[in-house]
Amino acid sequence: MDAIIVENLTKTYAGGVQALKSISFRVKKGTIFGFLGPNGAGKTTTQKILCTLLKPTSGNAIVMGHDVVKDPWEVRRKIGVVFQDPALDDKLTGKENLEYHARLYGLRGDEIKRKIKELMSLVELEGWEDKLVSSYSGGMRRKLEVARSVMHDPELLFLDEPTIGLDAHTRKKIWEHILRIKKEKGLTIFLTTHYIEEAEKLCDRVAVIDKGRIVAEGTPEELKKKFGRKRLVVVFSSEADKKKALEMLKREMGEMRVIVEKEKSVELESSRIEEKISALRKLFVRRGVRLIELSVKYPSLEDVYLELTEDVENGNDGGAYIPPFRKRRFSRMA
Amino acid sequence: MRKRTTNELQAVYIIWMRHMKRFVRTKGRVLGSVLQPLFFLLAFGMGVGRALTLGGGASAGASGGITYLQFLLCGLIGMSVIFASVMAGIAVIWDRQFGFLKEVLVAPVSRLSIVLGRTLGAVTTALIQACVIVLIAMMMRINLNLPGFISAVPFIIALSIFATGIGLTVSSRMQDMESFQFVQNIFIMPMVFLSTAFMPITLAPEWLRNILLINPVSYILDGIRHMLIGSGEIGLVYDAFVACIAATITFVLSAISFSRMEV
Repeated sequence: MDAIIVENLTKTYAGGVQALKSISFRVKKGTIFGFLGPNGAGKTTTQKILCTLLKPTSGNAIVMGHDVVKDPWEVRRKIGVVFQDPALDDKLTGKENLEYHARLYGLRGDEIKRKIKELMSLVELEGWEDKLVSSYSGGMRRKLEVARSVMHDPELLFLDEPTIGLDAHTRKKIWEHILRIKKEKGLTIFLTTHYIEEAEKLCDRVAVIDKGRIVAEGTPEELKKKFGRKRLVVVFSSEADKKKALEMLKREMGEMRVIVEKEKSVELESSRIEEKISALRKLFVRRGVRLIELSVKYPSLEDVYLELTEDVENGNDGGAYIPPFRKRRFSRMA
Repeated sequence: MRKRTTNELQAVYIIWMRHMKRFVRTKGRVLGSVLQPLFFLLAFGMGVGRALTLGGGASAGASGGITYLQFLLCGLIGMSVIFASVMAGIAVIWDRQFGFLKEVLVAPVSRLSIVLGRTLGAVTTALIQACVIVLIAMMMRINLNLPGFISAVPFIIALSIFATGIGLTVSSRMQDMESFQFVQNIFIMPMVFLSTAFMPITLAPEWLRNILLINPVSYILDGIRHMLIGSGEIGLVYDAFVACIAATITFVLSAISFSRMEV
């Protein structure tokens, strides 16, 4: 069973900017699906459509068995959302924020009290219930938002950059909470993130979106196998050894390319790299090049990601859509 | 279906509740909204207006006429109701900037309930402010028909719904507070100052009289005066009719703009 089915989804904003150019994907129930892409690639637009906050221009999106356009009310009841920007009222206490949410979702008095107690202790915020959210730290606010997003027992959770701007310890903690909740409630998670290592570690499947198109989809392993190139890392015992080896390589192993060169080490790329290790080792021994290490480095999801997506911020116009009001705000700052 | 209705009612309640909590917790604003009309009362009413006695209608008080202070007081109630209500509507812009709006829009609640909850919140706070001003007036020994205040309440509510509707409609289309300042200056301020809030129709020059008479605020204020000081310049039936129409139009308008709003 699929939690999300997206078919040929397109979104063209007023003004003609095509944020999504016919994307399709499916998310299986009970899995964590990572949605990766540079700023302006269409991540947020996709998520807003799936959350019923935005209407698509064409195509279908079925969330938990309901069409987001025809049946938004049913969709909303079944999803929980943690937005990228904090969405708490800081003039209310933590408890009041949760109660506000619970009432919007139709929960009743006793149930609300029980849930608040359960969730506040689950995210380790006991004792802070009656304090104004304005006195919370960034990490605490996030924890409160995570707790709030699952209050109405959603089946599908949207997390938009849930750990952005948080320190490493807090990020780890937030993920512990999310994973514990996922396990307890059997949630499906749709994760949008910039932290590729997080996605690699946590996601069952990922999709990479760039300029409004999905450029790759699969498990992190599949993507690495398909798009990533292995590298040979050679560490020499001295700089002289390195120079000697590089000259040799140029002459005798022409198809090997040097990708990274450091003081005493190089990273090489070539086809069928594993088959060449032993030949290379023999060559070095014969010519008296002293090695400290010779190993294969496997690509990370981040390498694959960088390979697949274009650098939007540096000169490339990408597909980055900036809504008119944002644009104004930026120009004022400039 | 029934479950859905109770859900919507709960949503209206909690949105109203949030408004009330925020109102109580922002003490500066509460104080300001009471002090502002008080200053007007002291400056205009006590100073300029002391010498003025208005002709008054057939139902004028025992002294034969209405003092400007009495007249002004009703206008000031109207002014503070309008400002408080517009601000309550405008608060949506804050919510958008702080991201809180999305939390409400993604919930299984109709946009109508969101508008209704906000409007009820605005009406409640506007009524509280009106009561405080009347209380101050009593302390200043301004002659008021106190039982009449109860019958003025429907007009105050209509005025509040009318102004909240304007605030909500504007804020559903605007992204930042700066653009609201603009609306405040070219729309809200003229709406207050070119009404009968400070100036009786009978004293206005011809050209101004026409403006006063196309401004729905004039009618609602006239209704409040009929009730509270027993003297108005337009017929009570007209006042009530315009009040109902004006409140309905802006409420419907705000509900429509909210349902079309995308974040």
